[in-house]
Amino acid sequence: MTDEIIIENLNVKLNGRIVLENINFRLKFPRFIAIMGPNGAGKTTLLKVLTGFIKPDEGEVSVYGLNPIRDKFKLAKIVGYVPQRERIEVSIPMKVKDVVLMGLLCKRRFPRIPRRENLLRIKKVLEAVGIEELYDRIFSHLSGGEQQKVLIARALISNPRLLILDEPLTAIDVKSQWEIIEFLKKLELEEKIGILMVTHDINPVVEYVDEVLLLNRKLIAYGEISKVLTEENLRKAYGPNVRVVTSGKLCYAITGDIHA
Amino acid sequence: MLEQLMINPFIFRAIIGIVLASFSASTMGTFIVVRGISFLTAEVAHAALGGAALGIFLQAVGLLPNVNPFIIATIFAIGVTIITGIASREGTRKKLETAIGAAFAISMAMAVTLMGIIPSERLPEIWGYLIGDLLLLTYDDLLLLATITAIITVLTTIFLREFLYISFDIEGAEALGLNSKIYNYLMLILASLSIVVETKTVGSIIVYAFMILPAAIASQAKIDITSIMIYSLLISIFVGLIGLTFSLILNLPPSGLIGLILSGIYISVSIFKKE
Repeated sequence: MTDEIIIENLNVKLNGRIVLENINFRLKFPRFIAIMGPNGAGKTTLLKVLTGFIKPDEGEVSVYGLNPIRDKFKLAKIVGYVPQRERIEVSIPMKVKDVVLMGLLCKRRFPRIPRRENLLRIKKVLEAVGIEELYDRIFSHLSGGEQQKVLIARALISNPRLLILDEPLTAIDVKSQWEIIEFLKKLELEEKIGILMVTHDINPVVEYVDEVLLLNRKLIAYGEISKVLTEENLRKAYGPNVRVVTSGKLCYAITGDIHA
Repeated sequence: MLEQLMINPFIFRAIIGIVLASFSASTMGTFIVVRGISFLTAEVAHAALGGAALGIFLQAVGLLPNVNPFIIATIFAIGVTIITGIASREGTRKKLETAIGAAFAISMAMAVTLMGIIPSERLPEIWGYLIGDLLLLTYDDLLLLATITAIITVLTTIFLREFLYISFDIEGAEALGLNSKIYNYLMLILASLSIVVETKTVGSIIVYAFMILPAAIASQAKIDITSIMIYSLLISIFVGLIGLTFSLILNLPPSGLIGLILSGIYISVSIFKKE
């Protein structure tokens, strides 16, 4: 099983609208790769194709040698997924330890009864993420950054080889953003876990990502950050009227708030 | 009063009906509240009304003479729930709202049309589904209610963790390896069964209050899901019995009084909590 994501001729339509068109790429892991693009570019749809939520209309998809639709449950054993925080129903009163335990028990067959060693494992993974003091707290009572860290701990508890994150830096404070990015980089370098992260804001991750995949329904560019974030590529992705500023070797697109 | 309760079979059956309905309301009502799918209650209750009208009609014309209309109401309600589940999972919000609207329209149109055909002596049965017939429950009704309540309670206990996971994060649960589609449909079917039980006991107009408000009141306490269920059960039984008692004293419909008391408690708790 190779540590690669391979996509060939991918086409996805949702409600009759083309969301992804003729996408081709090969991503090698363990690396820290960011998927960027404007709103509606198909970033989340691409993640849903990779995790088997959406069946492509056309094309071949292989994640670490597995077909996300056919091998969905095998894939769940090697991929840790962190969804957008806004998709979580926070009115459900779940404790942090139960949220993290979910990462283990969902992968098991029925009956899903926790074992004593699972509780030790929860404490260990919370400690690794730096939030062991939150063990008994209610998830909805935590700050955005803390909730995001809990969701990362949930994805990590089953020792995945690839971590897929959908907008993990949205609506959290800057300090938490740095802590999360540094932790993800550490996972990549020390644990050899591949990191694939969707973000609309490249600024916090610019010094940490190895490669960027720029998307706007079609693949605009993929490769090292300095080669992808050019004025030409950003105008292709964000439109010809977008304001582009240059800092060092990199270009940034200014789209209302600070996006890239 | 106590003596009257013990010897009057109507009151005795009504008490059993309240207890059974409270069990199913507290389990599924809790998930309906925390998942924010209370629209399902109104939709399924109306589907049960349409289904019951169809069942009574089929019985009256001799097509299904031995089938309890409650069973037809249940099948109809489950069918509507599954269609809604498919629309909510695979469609847009607009598609979901259209599906709910269509289900409402079909159910009510069918009920109203069939009420014009059904023999007049059987019309009170349909009115029973509309305003509830706690005091008219038969032992056969109770047996059916007990069976469905037992199914709901046992399955919810067995799959509590799975239901909790898909309610918290259905997308994440599936990506983590849980077959969330199956558990989601199982939960929706159990919820619709529960709503049908409530419709039979308190009526389709008040079912919303009985199904939603006890769990909504309990969930204000910010406690875990099992505690919400237990508090919701106690609130349902307590208010149900109080409502029944006042209905006997004041000679008013019990379901209406139960709805009013629950609404009063909910409003008071909400105001008190804000302060």
